[in-house]
Amino acid sequence: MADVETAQEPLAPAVRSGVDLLVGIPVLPEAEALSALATRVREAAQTLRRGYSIVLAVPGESGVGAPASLPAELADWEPGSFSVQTFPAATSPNPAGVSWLAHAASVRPIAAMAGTAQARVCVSLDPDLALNPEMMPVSRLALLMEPAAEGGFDLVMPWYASGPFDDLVTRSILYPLTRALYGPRIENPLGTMFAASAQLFPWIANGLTPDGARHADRQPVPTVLAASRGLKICQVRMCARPHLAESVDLSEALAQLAGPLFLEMEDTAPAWQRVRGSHDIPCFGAASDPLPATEAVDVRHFVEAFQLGVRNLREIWSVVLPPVTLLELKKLSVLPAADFRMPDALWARIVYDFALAHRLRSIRRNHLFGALTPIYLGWVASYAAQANAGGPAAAQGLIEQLARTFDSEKAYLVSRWRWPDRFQP
Amino acid sequence: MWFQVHQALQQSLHRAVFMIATLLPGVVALIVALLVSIGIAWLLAAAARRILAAIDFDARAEKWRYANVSELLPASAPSVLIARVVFWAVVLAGLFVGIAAFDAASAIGVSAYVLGYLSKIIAAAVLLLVGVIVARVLSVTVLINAVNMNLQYARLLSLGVKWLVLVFTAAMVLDHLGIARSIVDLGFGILFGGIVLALTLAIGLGSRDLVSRSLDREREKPAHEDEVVRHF
Repeated sequence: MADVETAQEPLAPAVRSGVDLLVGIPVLPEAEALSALATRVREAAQTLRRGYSIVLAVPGESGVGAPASLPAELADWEPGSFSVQTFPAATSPNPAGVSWLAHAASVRPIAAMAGTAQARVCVSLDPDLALNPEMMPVSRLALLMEPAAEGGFDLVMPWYASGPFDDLVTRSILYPLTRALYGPRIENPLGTMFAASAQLFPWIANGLTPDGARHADRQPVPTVLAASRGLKICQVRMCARPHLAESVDLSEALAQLAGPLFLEMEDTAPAWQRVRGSHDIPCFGAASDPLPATEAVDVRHFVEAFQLGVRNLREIWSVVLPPVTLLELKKLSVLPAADFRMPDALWARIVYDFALAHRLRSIRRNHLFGALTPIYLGWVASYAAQANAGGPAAAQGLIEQLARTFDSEKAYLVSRWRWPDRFQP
Repeated sequence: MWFQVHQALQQSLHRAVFMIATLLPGVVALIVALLVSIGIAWLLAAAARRILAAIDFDARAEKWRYANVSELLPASAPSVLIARVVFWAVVLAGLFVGIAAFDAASAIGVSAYVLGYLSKIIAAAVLLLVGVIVARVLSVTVLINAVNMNLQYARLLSLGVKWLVLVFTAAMVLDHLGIARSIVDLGFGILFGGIVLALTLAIGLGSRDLVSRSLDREREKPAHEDEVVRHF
C-alpha cells in the first residue's frame, strides 16, 4: 500500500494524542443527550476485553479543542480515559438531501481528527440512530466498536434491518453493484455510520484516490476505499434506520446515492477490473428486529411511470443504452401491469451502461439520473410484483438472485468500460 | 439636337467605362484575395485535421471532458469542428483583405461600413449560439422532469419551451442586426403571445382530457404508497 499523507489538521495541543477510540458524531447534541451518549459510549467500551481511552468528538464552532461547555457529570470523568473534544464543523447538514446522508460532509473531519489524535479506531455515528438509546443501546455500540478494536477488521459497516420494500435503491443498485465490482457482499455499502481502523481512516480523511489524486470535495465511500485496497471488512446487525420525512425527489436521491459510487468506479477501475466474483464477509450480531409486516404494493403506478418514460425518453436513452436494450425496454412497455417483469440481466446491464455514461459524460450528469428514474421505477414494479406474490423471504431471494446476475454480467461492464466505442449505438 | 444627344450618350458611356475601369482592379483584387484565402484556408484546415489526428485529439478531448458539453454542440468530432473554424476564419480574413483592396482601388469606402457591421454580426452569432444551446438544454431538462412528475404532456411541454426560447432568440438576433426592427417587434409580440395563448388553449381545451387524466392518476395514487415502498 502507498504511504498515506498525514492528516490535514495540525496536531492541536488541545487534542490528546495516542487515544484508542475516537467516536465522532456530526451534530452537537443537547447537554442531556450528550451526557447520555457519552455514558453509553463509555459503557460500550467497558464491555470490550481491555480498557480503552476514548475521545468523543462533536462539532464545534472554534475548530479542534475542548468544547466551550460540558455537562457537569462529564467534566468529573477521569480525563485520562475519556474526554470530549470538538472538531471543526465541516458544513451544515444538507436538508435537501437523503436524510441518512445529510451529515456526510462531517465524515471527513471526524476521520481527520482521528488521525490528529493518532487513534487506533475511528467510529462515525449516525445521529438519528446514535442519540436514540432504544435504537442504539450499549450492546449495539459495542458491537460496532469491537471488530475494529479487537477483531482486526479495518472496516465495520452496519447491516440495517429492513422490510422487503425498504431501501430499494440500495437493494437494486448499491448492494449488487458494490459486490460485483469489489467482491465483499456489504448489504448497506453507503452511509455515514461505520468503524474504521488506523489503516483506513487516513484515506477517508485525505480523499486520495489510488492514483494519488485528491478529491477532498467528494463524499467518501469507506466501503470502496477499504475493498479496493484489500482491507478486512465485516458487518454488524443493526435495527432498522428511522424513516424520516424525505423532501428530496427520487431523481435527486438517485444522484446522491449512486453518484458517489459511480465516481469511485472511475478512480478504482484498475482495482475492480481485476476482481472476479464476490464473497461473503463476517457478520456479527443477531438480526434483532423481525422484518416489519408489509402489505401488497400496487405496481400499476410504477408501470405507468415506466411506460411514460419509454414514450418520451427514448431519444435520451439512446445516447446511453445500446439498441438491443432499447428494444427490450420497448417490448416491456407494452406488457400489462400484471405480467410486467424486468429481467435481472437487463437491469444489471442498464445500471452498468449508466455508470459508463456517467464516466463518459455522454449526457449531463443531472440529466443522467433523471433519465434513469423511469427505468428504476420499472424495476421496482417488477420486483414488487414478485415480492407481493412470494413474501419477505422470497424478496430477499430476489435480491440475491439479482446480485448474482450483476456478478455474472460484470464481463459486459468490463468490455464496455475498456472499449466504449465498440458498443456505441 | 442630334449632336447634343450624341454628346450626352458619349459622356454617359465615358463615365460608365471610367467607373468600370476604376472598379475593375478592386473587383479583381477582391476575387483574387478570396480565391487565395480559400486555397490557404483549405491547406490550413487539412493541416489542422492531420495534426489533430496525429495527436489523437478526439480521444484526448474526451478525456478532457469534452463530452461533458457534447449535448450542447454539433454531432461532429472535435477535430472536424476545429478544422472548420480554421477554414472559415481564414476565408473571412481573406474577405476583409479583398474588401480593403477593393476600397483602396475604388475609394468608395465600403470597408468602413462592412467592418462596422461586422461587430454586430459577431454579437448576433454569439446570441444565436447561446440561444440554441439554452433551448436544447432547457428542452431536455423540462422533458425529463415532466416525465418524472408523471405529466402525460411532457413532450408537448418540452417542445413548447424549446420553441419559445428559439423564437425569443431569433427576435433578439434580428433586432440586434437592425433588420426590420418594427416588423420584428410587432411580429415577435404577436408570435410569442400567440404561442402562449395556443399553449394555454391547448392545455385548457384541446388537452383537457390529457391533463385531467394526469391529475386523476395522481389523485388515484394511494396516499400510503410512499409509506409502503421506501426507495431510500
